[in-house]
Amino acid sequence: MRGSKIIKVLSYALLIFMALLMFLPFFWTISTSFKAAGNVIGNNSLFPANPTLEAYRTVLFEVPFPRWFLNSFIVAALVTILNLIFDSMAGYALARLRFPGSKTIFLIILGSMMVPAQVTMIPVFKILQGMGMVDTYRGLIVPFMASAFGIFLMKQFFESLPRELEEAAMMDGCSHFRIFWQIILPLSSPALAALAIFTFLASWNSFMMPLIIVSVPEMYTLPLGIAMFKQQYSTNWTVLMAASVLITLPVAVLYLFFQRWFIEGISFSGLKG
Amino acid sequence: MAKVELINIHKRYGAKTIIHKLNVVVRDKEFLVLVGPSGCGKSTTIRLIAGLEKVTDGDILLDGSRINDIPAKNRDIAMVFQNYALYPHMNVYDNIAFALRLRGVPKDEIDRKVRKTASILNIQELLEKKPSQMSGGQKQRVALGRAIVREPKVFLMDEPLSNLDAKLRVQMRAELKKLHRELNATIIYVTHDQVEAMTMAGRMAVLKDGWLQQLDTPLNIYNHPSNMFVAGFVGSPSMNFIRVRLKKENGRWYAAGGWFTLPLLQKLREEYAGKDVMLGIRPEHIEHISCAGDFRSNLKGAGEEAKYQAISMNVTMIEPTGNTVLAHLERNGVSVVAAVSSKARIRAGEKTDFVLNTDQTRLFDIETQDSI
Repeated sequence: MRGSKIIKVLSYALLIFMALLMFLPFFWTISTSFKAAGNVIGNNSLFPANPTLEAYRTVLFEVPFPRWFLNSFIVAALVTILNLIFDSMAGYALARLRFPGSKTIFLIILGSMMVPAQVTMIPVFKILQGMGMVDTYRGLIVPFMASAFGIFLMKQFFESLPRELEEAAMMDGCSHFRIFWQIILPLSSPALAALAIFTFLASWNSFMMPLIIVSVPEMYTLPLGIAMFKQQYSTNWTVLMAASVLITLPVAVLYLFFQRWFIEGISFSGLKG
Repeated sequence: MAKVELINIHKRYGAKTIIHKLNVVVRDKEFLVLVGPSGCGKSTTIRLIAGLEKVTDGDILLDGSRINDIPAKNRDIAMVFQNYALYPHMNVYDNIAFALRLRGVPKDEIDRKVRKTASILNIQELLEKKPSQMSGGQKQRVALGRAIVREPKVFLMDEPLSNLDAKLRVQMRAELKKLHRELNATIIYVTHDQVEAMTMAGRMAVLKDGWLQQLDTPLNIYNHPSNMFVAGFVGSPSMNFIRVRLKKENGRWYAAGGWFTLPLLQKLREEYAGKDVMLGIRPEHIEHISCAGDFRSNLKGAGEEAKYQAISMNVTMIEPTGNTVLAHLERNGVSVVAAVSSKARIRAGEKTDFVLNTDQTRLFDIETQDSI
């Protein structure tokens, strides 16, 4: 009995230690963002000596941060919405509709996940350039409006839904599209929420592709804008950290909002058991 | 009017044939039960009628017109699924109203029909509930309601009671029968439970390995099974089979089993003389000698003494079931089960006399397994 208590205390101590370790960089980010410029390197104190909002003022008013924020938001939101639409439709077709070549198509989609982004980077740029999409929202959105991962995720989820539900709907008089729209999608909120979070995060944090696709500062997304604070010979740490905090906020809010959906899930108790 | 005809139906998946040359006519307003062990093709048959599967060969007629190529949603056929398949995200009202909304029925008419259906099934107080908040029996009623509200030509029911507990199943069985009378509808019902089939069916079709074995009223099937499979499948405990040799003496037929000889009442063709066949007798047609009196008076008109033949057997085990006792009997390698009166004083281990109602014996060809 006593032994198990000691083990419990020790394991909690270890877990708390690990949690603090994980939290430390975030804390340091927040703390640094409130420090005065030039008061960072060589000053390892966790708390700012004279907290100041100077860095935030710089971010918000001296660089086109609001514009970048808007760009990022427009791109991430549209990419997320389009992914939810296309990935779920493609996933449903591959999961449930019988058509020739469906297995091959699925394998090709799955195979495309194994190709590293670096391989397609230049061809994607050349295509966008040819289509006049460089330095446009379209260029930042169109190449990412469907993803192999999303299709795979949705297909796997749809396959876990009981087929009888669709058959019952068919007997009730539904077309394929109506089954998808009125029966399947409402039951898929856990998968859709997961896909929304993954897609939004990936788009929000994406650096490499936007870097290639846009070159004019007013089309920058946030990660590109932040990179501007890192110059070849100096880095403005307090401003960089303030911008990082501002970037992280919407994602944290999004996560908190969808968290509820993750946990709530949906019960399939319209069926037996 | 809703008559369903299955004409020379074949269903193949690749090289595997699930249904062979099935011919069944379901009459208007009939309660037809498809029954058979799992894998016999009964669910596939109902899915073919529903339009959820395509027929490989043959025709399905609904009121005389061919519906093979009509999609499920346009067939005017409703189906109740084994696991109910209620839409989990809709409440009971919406579940029932769903099909009507799809058909563009006016709102007030939908409301009237949904409430009427709910009152037929006694689920008025459930209308606002979600499927997850209901018990199995309640879900079952809602699933029925979803079918009833459409007033379809034909109801298909795929093992609708198999997920309910035993008591509820018996209750729902009676309710479904009553519902059939009230709705005056054609119902095709699938079950693997022969008791369910016997109690509910107007006629029942027994299937095995995709072949139709027999199509008749439950009593005819019980009393005159067309082959050994049907004889063994229908009835619980199932029919006893004893290998015997037929012989004819002085114009009368006998079944000889080594240590016993039973007089037979059947008229048989001459070629059966000397041939080995299977003799089938149901457990309730074997009675202990002490209760043979009751046994005889229960079989009025059977009359002649020749119908009852006493044989002596060892009791290996007894299973009291309340009104009857199942006695497992054995002698010289022949094992049978008898359902004797609970008044019979028998003990496991003793050797005692039993009376057979030879009027109720059935003979089956050993090779073809068909009834003789």
